[in-house]
Amino acid sequence: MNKHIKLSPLLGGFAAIAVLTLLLVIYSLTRPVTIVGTKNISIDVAYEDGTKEHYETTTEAQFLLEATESIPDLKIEGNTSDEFGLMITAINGTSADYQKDHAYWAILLDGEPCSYGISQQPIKDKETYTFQYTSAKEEAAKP
Amino acid sequence: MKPLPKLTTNELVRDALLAAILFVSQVSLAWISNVELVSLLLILYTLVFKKHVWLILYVFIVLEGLVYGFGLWWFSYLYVWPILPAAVFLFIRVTPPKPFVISILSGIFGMLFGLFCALSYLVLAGPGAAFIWWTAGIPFDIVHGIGNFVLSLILFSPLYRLLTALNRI
Repeated sequence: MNKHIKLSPLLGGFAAIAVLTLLLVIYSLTRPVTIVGTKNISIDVAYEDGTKEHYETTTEAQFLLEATESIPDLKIEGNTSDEFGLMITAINGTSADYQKDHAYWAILLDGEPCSYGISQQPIKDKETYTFQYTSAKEEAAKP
Repeated sequence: MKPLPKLTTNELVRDALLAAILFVSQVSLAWISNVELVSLLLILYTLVFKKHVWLILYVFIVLEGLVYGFGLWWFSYLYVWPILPAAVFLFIRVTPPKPFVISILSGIFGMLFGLFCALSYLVLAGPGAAFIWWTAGIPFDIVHGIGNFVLSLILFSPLYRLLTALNRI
């Protein structure tokens, strides 16, 4: 008996189309849904030492990054990749770069971790976001 | 115990050169997101140089880590890239293989690359984080798959002829 499976052009073509279709369906079901219009959102920045800064903005933006850009006192820095957008490394000069500081800026929506990064997180009216300084040690200590 | 097969000097130098070509191809196309020649070259190396592909591949992976840093993505490379030579050994039984079949294999691998990488997030951060990470990158996986398909369709035949001729020297 031949133990090897031969990939024929027809079978391969069907397999490729099936994979592509599956990816498109999953993406269309899970992609971030944006809302057009004016939103009022609150943003808190929670630093390592427990201090907090509070900001509010009224924006037409559809994603969190654009909303933060409308707040002059909130300075967000990071590295941008095509795939994931901005990866935050510092907020208002406080660095939380995982490679250097073993810490990161977690993004919370109404206290719960967001599903997307700052560039892809869609915003809605009356939401409250928190940028939480999170060290790798604290994260590891969680049950 | 069966002794380990020894590499000749010629094979060692050739494998090192092929690993360098693999690495240079990755670096030179790094500016185009998710378009790469690594998949096609790995398929070619597997078809022409058989089990030597494993040495070439792991030299390439170590080089990637040394240059870009040993992040989580690097650990996923340890098991994601070997899937491609394994698939070639398993599925490609015709010599010379049809370029369309190779392109299909390369395209499917590109489309599933993010899913394979997400397995490391599954272990470290749980199924929710792994799923979100994977789905956020699906458009890029599709670009990866289409890029792999097109590049393989164009370049497989000439490169296969070139490498088989070099292997006979």
